[in-house]
Amino acid sequence: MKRAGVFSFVLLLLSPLSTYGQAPSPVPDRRAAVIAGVVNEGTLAAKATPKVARPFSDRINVNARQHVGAYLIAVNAERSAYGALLRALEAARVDKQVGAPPASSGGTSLAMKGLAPKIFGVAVERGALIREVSGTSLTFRLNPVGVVKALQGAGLVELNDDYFKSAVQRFSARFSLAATFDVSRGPDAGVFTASDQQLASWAARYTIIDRRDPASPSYAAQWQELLLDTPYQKSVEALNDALGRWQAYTDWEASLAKSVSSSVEGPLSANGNVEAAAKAYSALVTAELKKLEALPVPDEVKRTLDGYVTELTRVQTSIDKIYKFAGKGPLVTFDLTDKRDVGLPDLYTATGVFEAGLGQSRKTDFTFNGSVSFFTSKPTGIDHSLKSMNFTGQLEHPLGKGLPAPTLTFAARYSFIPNDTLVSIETRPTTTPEASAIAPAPKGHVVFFQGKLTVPIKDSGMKVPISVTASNRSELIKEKDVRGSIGITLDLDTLTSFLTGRP
Amino acid sequence: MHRIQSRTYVGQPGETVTVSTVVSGGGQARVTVGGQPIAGGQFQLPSTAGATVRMQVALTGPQGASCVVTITVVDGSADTDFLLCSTFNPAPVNFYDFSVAANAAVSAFAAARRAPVSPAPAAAAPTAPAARPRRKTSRKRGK
Repeated sequence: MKRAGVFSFVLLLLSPLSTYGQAPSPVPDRRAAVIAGVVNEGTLAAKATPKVARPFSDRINVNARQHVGAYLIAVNAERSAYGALLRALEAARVDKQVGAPPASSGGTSLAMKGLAPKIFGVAVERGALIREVSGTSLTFRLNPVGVVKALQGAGLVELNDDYFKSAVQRFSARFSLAATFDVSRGPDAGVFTASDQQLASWAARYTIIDRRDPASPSYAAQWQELLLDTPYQKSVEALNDALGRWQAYTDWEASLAKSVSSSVEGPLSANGNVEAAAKAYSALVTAELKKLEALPVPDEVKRTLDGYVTELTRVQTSIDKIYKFAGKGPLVTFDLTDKRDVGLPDLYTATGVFEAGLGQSRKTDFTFNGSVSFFTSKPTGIDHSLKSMNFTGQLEHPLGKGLPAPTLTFAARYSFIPNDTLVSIETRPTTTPEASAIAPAPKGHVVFFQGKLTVPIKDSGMKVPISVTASNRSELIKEKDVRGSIGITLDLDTLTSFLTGRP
Repeated sequence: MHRIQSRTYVGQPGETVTVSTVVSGGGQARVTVGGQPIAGGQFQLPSTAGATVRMQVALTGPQGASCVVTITVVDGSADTDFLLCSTFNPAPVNFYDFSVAANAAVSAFAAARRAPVSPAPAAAAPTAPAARPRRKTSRKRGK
């Protein structure tokens, strides 16, 4: 990642300066996405309890015209405020999608051999596993939501029972597994065989406490406060009423409702097939909204739509703040990791992690973790299998109110090595056959402090970290060490966005 | 009370409207009439024929939060609506318009629609206590 960052930094320096002045590219056509949202709402309404009287025909109808507003915004996305709102709404969707896999890290030249890698490959394609490549390491993360979806997609399970669904969801949300393979190991070095030799580590994580769900009752007060936003609600009402006074629109709306009632809800009440109804509704509403586009929009509707866009943009900012606040709620996790070294017995590490935002606004991030590491058997020449106990605390606080704000970080780590032991150390480039070397670690106490100031450079994706670290000794050498460092880190996603002008 | 079209109703003077919301997915709903939250899930239509009143239901919450709104008594049973917090409509607000017509006009409308007719609310009478129509309405719903 660091090498990629440096490479991109060089590219940035070589890029023509004219790139910087580029206006954001036009917002992609979002009309289909708006329609998909309306159809989804109809589908959910048809399945809701208590039973909803007119699940599809009431989605776009008298006194509920925000979907039409959204469609008109998408039609006029070239207007800067409209485009910006669509970007904000979509960004919110991407950020909040539960279990969304990370963006593809690109292709890998790693060759594969044998049946196991094929199974892994199919699982990745079906979304049951997430794959990450770093050097010669290949990590697969098991996403339980993905596994369930993959099994459903393959027709292996049917999740119709609500209790089972919710039980699976509860478990999925709290449990994850990961396995890392080092393809430089084994007789077929450089080829991914998923053999026991190549399995470098595995990890399991369970979330014990998670107060980061914005749907939790803990955040009810924030959502309730948003309900008191009168200017926003007035703007919705103004748009609703302006559309209601536009004769051509009300004729179109009445015609749509009549068509939906006869060709979607009629069959639905007869056969109960919600999916077929949704499909029919999607086709109908897509065709009808095209007709609406052709109508000349009165000035009153344009004005009220402008007002609605302004207010919805403000409300979306408030929603984002609630998500951000919830995202810093208390989180307690337990991790168990098994590191498999060539020259040492398996090393298990059990770690408890507590993370939370401190203060009323949760601006200060606090992280504490405690871990214990032990070998599954005594390494050769060592009398004990317990390796070490570690405790780490970190505080991170943004300075000032500017965005992006510099952050100040203080971290401290204490390690207790009760007996002389062995550690594996990286001594070579990752492409050489030797995976690691073994070195003695004398018993004792290791204390480490770090103070760091990270200064982000606006809209560049670059951050400059300046840090001072001090320790009484390292794991290997009993010698005090104080050092200062300054560097540059690059967020490639931000950089790409900056260079292309796309969010 | 009778449904004229989507989210639009006609009722008798002083008729009691009962509104309930079932919220899921971490959402919060607020029902207001004339900008004020309604108490006890009920409000009364104005006592003058020709008057109108607008009810508003707002929903906020994470994406996927939903709310089923039930309005009674409409055409002898209940009318229902659905709100959802979604990508392009993250904070939905729906409106419901109620018009008041004279008892005879409402009865005629119901007859034309062949809908059950609500008993004339006692609240329309100047001396009647306000609670009486609510009792009548709930007895009817309980049957």
